[in-house]
Amino acid sequence: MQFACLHMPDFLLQANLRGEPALLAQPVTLVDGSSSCPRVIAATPKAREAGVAIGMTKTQAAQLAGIRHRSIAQEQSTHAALLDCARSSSPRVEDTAQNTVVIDLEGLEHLLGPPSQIASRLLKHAEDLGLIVHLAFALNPDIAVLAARGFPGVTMIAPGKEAQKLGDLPVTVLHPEPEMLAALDRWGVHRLKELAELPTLPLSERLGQEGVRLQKLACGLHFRALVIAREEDRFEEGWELETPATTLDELNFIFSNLLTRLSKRLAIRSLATQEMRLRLDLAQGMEPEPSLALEEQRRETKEQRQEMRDKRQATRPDSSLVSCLSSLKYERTLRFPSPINNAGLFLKLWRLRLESDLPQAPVMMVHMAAQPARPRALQGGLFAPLAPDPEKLELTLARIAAVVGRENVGSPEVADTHRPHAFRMAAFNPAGPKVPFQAVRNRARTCQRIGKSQWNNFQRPGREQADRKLKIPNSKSQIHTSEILNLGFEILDLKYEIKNLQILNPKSEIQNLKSACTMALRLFRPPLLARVELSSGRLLRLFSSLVRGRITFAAGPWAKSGGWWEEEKWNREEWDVEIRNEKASALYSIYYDRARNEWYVDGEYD
Amino acid sequence: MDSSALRAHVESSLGNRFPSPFTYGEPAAPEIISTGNLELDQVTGGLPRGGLTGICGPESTGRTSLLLSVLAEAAAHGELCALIDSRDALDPHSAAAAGMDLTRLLWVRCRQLEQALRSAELLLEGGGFGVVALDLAGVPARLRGRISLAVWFRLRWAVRNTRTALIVLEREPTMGTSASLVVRLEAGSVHWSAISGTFREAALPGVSAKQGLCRPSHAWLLSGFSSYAEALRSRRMFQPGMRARLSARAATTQIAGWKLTAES
Repeated sequence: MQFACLHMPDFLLQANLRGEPALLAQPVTLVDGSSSCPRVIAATPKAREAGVAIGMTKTQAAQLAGIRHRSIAQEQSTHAALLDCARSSSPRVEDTAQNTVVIDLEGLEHLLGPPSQIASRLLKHAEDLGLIVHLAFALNPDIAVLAARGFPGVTMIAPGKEAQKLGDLPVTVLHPEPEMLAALDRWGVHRLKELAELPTLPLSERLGQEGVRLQKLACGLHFRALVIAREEDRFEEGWELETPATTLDELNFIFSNLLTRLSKRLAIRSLATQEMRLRLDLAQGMEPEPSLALEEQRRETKEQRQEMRDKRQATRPDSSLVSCLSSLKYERTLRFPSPINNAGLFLKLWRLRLESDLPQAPVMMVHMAAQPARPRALQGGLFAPLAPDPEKLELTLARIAAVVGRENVGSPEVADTHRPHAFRMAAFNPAGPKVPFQAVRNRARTCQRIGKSQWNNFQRPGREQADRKLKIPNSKSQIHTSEILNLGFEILDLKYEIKNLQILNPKSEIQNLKSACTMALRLFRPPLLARVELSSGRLLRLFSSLVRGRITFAAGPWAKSGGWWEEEKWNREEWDVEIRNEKASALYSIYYDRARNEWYVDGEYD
Repeated sequence: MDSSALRAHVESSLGNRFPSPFTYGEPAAPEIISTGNLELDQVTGGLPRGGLTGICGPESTGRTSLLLSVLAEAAAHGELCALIDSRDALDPHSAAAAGMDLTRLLWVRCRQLEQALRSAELLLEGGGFGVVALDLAGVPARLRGRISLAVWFRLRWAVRNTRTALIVLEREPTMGTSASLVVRLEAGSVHWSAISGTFREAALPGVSAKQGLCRPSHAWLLSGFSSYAEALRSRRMFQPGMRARLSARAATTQIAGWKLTAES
């Protein structure tokens, strides 16, 4: 069995109702709304029983069954899902048709087992992706395609039994041209075995080479090379809404569906994602007020929402009109610090994002795309420091951002400028389980120095450990924890001994090494406007909303200026002052703004 | 049924689920992180993981300097730190000067007290941080008084049984018994250093006199200050009366782009 074929029967229905599979058992018709007169292009079995026929107008069909509009985006995403399902087993896949793919299984028996196991694997993946497929195995790709089109479930065609197995299938599985099908119908040829029995020469004279090709297919003799599809890692899912979504609850269901599909597609390809993009097509002008506001949503009762939905349904414009209206786009991107694949987490993150940044009009279409990445492969180390789970961290950051605002969460970055206190907020994206080499080297050298200077004064067991010379790598780059394992052991040993030394001799040099920390400045944002009393150029008193008192000592002024070519230039004289009031004294950094001719309290030394 | 029989009955009933229902479990000794200051480590025994630590004191007593020292020490060990800044007061330049690896610092800039407390709860709930610092030092007393003990109790339970050290910076201790360690800082002395060089005395405007020297104000540098720390409350080792001396030094002072060094 060298080839397998996956075929989706009723592709249009399956693709367009993929989000609501229960509708397949209901009388539902699919209408192509791209033309001025929408017509039925597919119908469920119950709709056919009710009298719906292909080609009926939308108005006629609406009296017999429910109506759904065709969505090209959903068909494309379903086709991509079918390809993903096939690629989960083999990289050699032919994109035969929108609803059919052929898989080359040569050499996979050793990896995936016999065809029966491959079949169960493929069916499971198809079920995960919400696809109903026919699966056929054969030695010939075309035979596999015909069997998959003709037989439901799993079909295995043994070598040499092709003609016998396919004989009872109707000639329509060959997908002949309509003229050829009509000719065969006139001749009374309805099944493949009847076509196979026709004499080749007269058939060629009447139907040409195409007729001969179809006969060879019917006999199972036609063989061709597989055309391998180029592997495209496009993980996109779309959903066109029948009625515009105006509440987050409505969108929640759609998001959940799309994200689950994307997550499963990534999972069966053993991938994850580090970036997700969302695009919402908004119905511009349909609702003057932003109707997605949460407060409004909470105030509305269920009855009111239902009433509004019915009203919108009644006034729903045609798809063509909607496409004109929906020119407004809402595009957002989520980036993750490491590749993750968790549909529940994605949903929470998008929900938090939308709550803080609502679309300003009803949503007509949801389009979600994931940038694939290799999943995170990380093994926790014995000496690895404490770190949050990346997925949990991302969710926590999103929740905090919803409380304080996205611009107020992140890592500070000192800006490369002389502008006072300039910084920018960067995304919190800590490095992996690496130990900064500089820190390790500094600590090792400190330990070494202290060990040598203090060690001879004490008689302790294990003293020779400290005398051991530490081998410090020369590279300035970061090194993995595992690479410094040996070095780490020695540092830990020395740290233990130094701690004991320090307890025995509290006034040793070790204290002096680490008793001082760097003086920090607490900033007032924005700086406090102040009034300063001067006498003969000396600063006497300072008054501001939070700080006031007598200036007992002042150092300065230090003139600073810059950015004169920009709008936000600075030109100031800085002072460090000690201010004493009735309670206590404290140290502040103040400055005189020359441009504004005003005094400000910049911050407090603490 | 007397008490011993009742006790035996309860013990036998719960024996499958609790081996000794009437015995309090001894809490394990908490893991300790260093403050980056050996003397303070001696006095306090280090800052406990899985517990609340309060650092309190008035202005200019080195609370923020000490906090940045703790954060820098933790980051140097490869841990992730978070600073919830209730008044948006952090100067990233000071943090960098303290040796902090800023890429390992999550800075949450808040404008309201409620935002800060909610962020702290979310961070502790998420877990995984080595040190979470809640800076309430700039919060006015009237707002500080609104924080109920239930909030501290909730935070204590959130951080319990984790490897995170929660440090709260405030002016007065308000955490009550929820705190595992409370360190109070008291002001010491301020160090002004004279810049090397000759200056015309007294005739210049802005003259400051210090230590018998009469120099113009621009001939002085704020080189640092010292303060004293003592443990008001400690669950691990309480040594009443023991004080540690902390000193905070200015990293460098730049004047017109030139780095000046102060006289010792």
